[in-house]
Amino acid sequence: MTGLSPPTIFSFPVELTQHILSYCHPWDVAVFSRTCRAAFVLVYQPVDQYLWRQLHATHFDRPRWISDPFAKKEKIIWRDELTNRLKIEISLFHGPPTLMEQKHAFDMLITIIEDSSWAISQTGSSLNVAWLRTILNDSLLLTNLYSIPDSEDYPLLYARIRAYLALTVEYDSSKRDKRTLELLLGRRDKSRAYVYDLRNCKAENKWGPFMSDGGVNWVHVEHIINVVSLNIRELPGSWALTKPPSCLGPLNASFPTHATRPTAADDWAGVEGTWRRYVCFMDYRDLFAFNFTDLADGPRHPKFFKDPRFREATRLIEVKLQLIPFGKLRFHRLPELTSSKNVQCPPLCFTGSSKAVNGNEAAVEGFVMIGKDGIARWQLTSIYDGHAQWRLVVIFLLVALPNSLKNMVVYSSCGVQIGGVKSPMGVVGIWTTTHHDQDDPVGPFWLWKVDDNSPTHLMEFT
Amino acid sequence: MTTANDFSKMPPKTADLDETWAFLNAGVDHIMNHLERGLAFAGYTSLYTTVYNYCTSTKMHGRLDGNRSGANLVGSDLYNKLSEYFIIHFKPMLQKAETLSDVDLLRYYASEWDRYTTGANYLNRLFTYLNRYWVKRERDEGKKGVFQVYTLALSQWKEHFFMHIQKDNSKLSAATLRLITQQRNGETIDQGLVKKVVDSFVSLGLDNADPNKECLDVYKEQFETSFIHTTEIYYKKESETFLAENSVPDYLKKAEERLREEENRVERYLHNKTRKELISKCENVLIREHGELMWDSFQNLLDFDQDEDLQRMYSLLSRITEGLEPLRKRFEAHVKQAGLAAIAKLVGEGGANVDSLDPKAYVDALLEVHQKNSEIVNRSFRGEAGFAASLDKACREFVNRNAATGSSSTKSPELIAKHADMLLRKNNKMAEEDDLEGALNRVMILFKYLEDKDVFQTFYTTKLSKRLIHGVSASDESEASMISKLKEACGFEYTNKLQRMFTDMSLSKDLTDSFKDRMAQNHDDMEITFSIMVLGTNFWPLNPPPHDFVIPVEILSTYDRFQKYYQTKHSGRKLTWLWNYSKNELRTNYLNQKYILMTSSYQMAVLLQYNQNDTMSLDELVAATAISKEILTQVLAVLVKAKVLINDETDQYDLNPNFKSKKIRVNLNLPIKAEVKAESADVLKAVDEDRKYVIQATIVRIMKARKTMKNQALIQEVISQISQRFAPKIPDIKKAIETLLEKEYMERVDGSKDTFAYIA
Amino acid sequence: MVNLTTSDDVEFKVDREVVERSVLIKNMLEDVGESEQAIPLPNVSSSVMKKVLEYCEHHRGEPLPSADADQSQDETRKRTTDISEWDQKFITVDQEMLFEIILAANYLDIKSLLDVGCKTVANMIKGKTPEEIRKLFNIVNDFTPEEEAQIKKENEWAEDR
Repeated sequence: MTGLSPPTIFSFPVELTQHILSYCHPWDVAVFSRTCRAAFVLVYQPVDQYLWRQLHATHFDRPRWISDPFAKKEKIIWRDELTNRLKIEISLFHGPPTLMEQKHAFDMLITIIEDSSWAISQTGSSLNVAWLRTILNDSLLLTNLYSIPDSEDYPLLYARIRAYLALTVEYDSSKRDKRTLELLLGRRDKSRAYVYDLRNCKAENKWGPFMSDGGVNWVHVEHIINVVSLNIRELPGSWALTKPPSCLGPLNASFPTHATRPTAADDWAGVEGTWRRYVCFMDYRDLFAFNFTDLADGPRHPKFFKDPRFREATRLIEVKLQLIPFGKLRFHRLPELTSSKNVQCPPLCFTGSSKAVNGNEAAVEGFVMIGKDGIARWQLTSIYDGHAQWRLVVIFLLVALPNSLKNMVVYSSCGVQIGGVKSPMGVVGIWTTTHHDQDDPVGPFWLWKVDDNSPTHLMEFT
Repeated sequence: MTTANDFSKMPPKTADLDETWAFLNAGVDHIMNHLERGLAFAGYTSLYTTVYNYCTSTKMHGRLDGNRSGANLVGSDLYNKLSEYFIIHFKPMLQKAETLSDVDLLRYYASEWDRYTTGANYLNRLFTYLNRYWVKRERDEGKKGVFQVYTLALSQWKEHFFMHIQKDNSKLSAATLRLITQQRNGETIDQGLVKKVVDSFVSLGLDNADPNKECLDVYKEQFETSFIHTTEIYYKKESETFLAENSVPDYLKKAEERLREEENRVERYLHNKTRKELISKCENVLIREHGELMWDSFQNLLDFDQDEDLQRMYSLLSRITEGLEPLRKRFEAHVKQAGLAAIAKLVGEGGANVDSLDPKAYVDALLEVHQKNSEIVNRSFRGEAGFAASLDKACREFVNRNAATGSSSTKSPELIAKHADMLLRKNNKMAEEDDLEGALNRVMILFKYLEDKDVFQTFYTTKLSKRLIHGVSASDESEASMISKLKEACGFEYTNKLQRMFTDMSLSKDLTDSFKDRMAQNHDDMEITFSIMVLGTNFWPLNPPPHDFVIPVEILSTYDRFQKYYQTKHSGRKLTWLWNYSKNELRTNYLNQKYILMTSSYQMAVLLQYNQNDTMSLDELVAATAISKEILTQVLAVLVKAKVLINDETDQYDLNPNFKSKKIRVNLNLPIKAEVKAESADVLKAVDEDRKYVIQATIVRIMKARKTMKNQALIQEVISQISQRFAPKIPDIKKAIETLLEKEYMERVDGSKDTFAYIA
Repeated sequence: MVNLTTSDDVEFKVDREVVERSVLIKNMLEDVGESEQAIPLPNVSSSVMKKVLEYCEHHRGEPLPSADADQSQDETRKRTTDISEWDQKFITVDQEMLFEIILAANYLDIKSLLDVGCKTVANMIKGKTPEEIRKLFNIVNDFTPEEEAQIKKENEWAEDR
């Protein structure tokens, strides 16, 4: 019977035609809808969201907000999700975009990056990354990002994008030109001047990269990333390759996904497991000279770092963490929780151990909380021998502490998870002492998760 | 009659819903009711193809009316028809079910369930195309009330068949429960039937969000809740009736049996999730509600050593949280009472034998009580930690305080140390060689319970020094073994001194040998066999003689030579000669028979005077030896009693030229009474001094670490740190604090009466 | 061996293992049991059946998609329009046959074959203009000018690429 009238594309049942279209690129689907009424109806007046859901799933990771307990539970309109993402392709390629268009594009880029790190944390792979790579390489965005001056209309947004992309991590001297390198190193001096400026570590910003209103200071975060990642670049041997994954780089093979290392149901931040941590610091005397003397055109001037004698130390530490029941912390008091949103993601408390190359081992404890903005904030302290001390294992290599003082030096770190909760990119922030005295030392750190079996390969480089 | 072949005449592709369903209805009905008559390929294909053709008959249209969807999937009509079919299908079944009850109803329900689920599985596959597209996409759109065909069949069964039967006084679950009650009453029932019905309850639970997930709501609401309730009532009644007519031990057996039965029941035909609540409810009714009664009959079981019943009571009561604590309390009191009674019996009416108490009898009495009850703990209470703790608590009580000790806290350590001494002495008849180790282990059992371990230590040290000096220790291995046991129990510090004593002994032996070698080279006139022990003052509980002593000329040269020799080896060390612990042997040349007199140094000094004189007055002897008159008279008394000397006139002592003895070796070296009495008092004084020092040292150590501390906290800390050695008294601690304040080790913090600060 | 009869009454004798790539036939054999009787397949013609069996024969022994794969939300995650070399060659047929194979795969419930067919059609659409697609599938443009405006509006997101 079927032989009598040859089938056409519209003699297929709807489910088949839509199945065929679901294998097309969205642009081609748009073209197809323009061929005739039936085609238009198939694409734009479907009985359900099947076609658009499939198209989205073929090109992008599942939006994070669907599984994010903080997002408003709205009905997902797959067609909008998909077209909103695709629209920024146009605004990035067809410049110059208006300020509003650029803001929209950047907001969407952040969403796409966060979606991708969520996907990676679940399955170890991400569709968004491939898309992002093409977009960023083929558009002028990257070049623009690093040449635009710091005074933009959306400084936090720009800084956040740069922090998320963390291109300084990805920087590959063999592929990029010298001019970019100089540009980057110049940025590092500026970033150092910001990070090591003792005035930027104060109670109002909770001793970390925060604004006085509690929001994340992405400018600060970006500077931290610049300092740590460019320092890693200068490490000798294979250590330069031991670095936190950036969102576009090849995924660190050692990143434990939900599939390879299932996290406990209540561990919404993926706390449990093995971490690596880079800590950078200046000699205490340099830190003082930089902040309080006129050695280089006045206090806190980036020129200070141009001095060839200047050294900054970088240390790689292994941290192992496990959750403990809420309120079992011995040395922290949890801040009052104001947000009622915390039901889904209650503060997570953890303990663990921290190991540096010189055999300094310390117990670690701390907690992770989610902010109103959905960004996870981490706090941790290192504890030695039952007393809260050595938050970061011995920092003052050059200062011999008299015995009686030893018990009183306590280090605390505050950081922000970049790329969203459970992101493989990890946590960046600032360490300082718990006393928060005016002239206490300060430095940046970067903490990221690795597989439990990763070889312990610690070091210290000055 | 429908035959399988009829289905091959399927409707044309263009057939509308009515025509399509008319065909499908017959097929579905065949599958649901007459599957046993078979279904051929042709029929199967026709049914599948009809569903396929209908679902793929999309009517595309090209209207762009904006609001209405133009691209419809076909499927809802068929789905609804199928849903309705099931409802009609249940009609006759419901009528039949109404006429049935109990086992008949269950049998009917179970067989219908088998038939229905088999058919539904077929339908699920014949309607695959509906499942693949329409159902899946409906569910993807969030319509959680749409199911795959098999799940739809179950959902319809639940709503339109199962619940209808249940509406009639839970007819189905009640019948199941009655069957279970029959089984509890001892009747044989068809367990497979119960299992099938109960399993269907589980299958009927449906999680709308994920139909593949197990969901127990039907099982719980329709069955489990009333099952648990029925169980509770059943056992409440049974246990009360049983206890009214039977003894507690019989009830224990019964309860144990019932609990086992219920465990098996879960295994056989209930869902595993029921186990926890069922068992906890049973434990509540069978155990907790009769807990009082069990606790009260516990003493009786203990008194008559009813091991098995004790064990049973233990394992039952251990199932409820608060079950064991009263038993532990009672057990503790029981053990304590037994210990006290054993010692009271030993001591006799009104403490008649307190002073002459045999250490061995005392230790044996204590051990017997411990052992018996320790066995009970291990056998009947499975060595459970709480009971072990009760045993320890009781033992600690009666070991330290009983009829023999009165209010003295040092009596028990003293007796036990003395017993240990006797065990470790040469020629001890109390323990065979093999058993010595065992006997020492038993001493350690009691030692563990001693509160004043330092008193034991002091007595033990004194006794050990005696054994070593006098060479009466049973064996070095046994001594070492005992010391290692003490070390294990109390740590290195506790046995440090004891070990040093052994070191001194072996060093002394080397010293004696090398001295003799040297003397043999330099002088060949060494007439006196000489050996020496050089003992560290700090490690040995020995006191120098309280008086002078004139070294007899006969040994003076040896004495001088050794002094010089020792000085060359260890210049600057001062040797204090402990004449009061030394001993000698004297050979008699003045008698026909040659005797060897074994003497103390004092006796030797006295006797040597008779090399020059046959008779001496008391005053002459005092002058010649420099021994105090008081002690000298006692020394002389022993010699007189042994008839070596004759004391015919007051204060006049003559050598007995006719001394006779049956033995060649005559032991004159017997302890003097005054020495024995003084010993215990000395020991206790030493303990007191030691304690003062320990308390002070502990306070200083604590203050050094904490810098400042409140009085009360300091006292608490001191007690907790010291209690392993002895139980410090609070006034002693306060006194030590005062002393340290005076010595300016610490000070009161300004403006605070009870806070102290450490002075570095 | 399993006997199949197509719509044009042609009989095929096939190994059970080969023909079980069709979930329809696999289920049927499980439910009804194997027998000498032929399985009638009224929706497939012999010419198409030949192609389908060629495909099944080639993929003999490969694992079938699991029954609940359809249920999983993430089924589509690893979607790709890639087609293996053999399948590519196999599916290089005229449009009529291609469509017939797609319909047969859908009817017989052979998921991998259905996907190969659908991907092939999708690849035909790729990069074409509306007019080219119309020509390809013999589609008549039946829009009115007002409708054209509506279409333009809906497709704004994809304009100006």
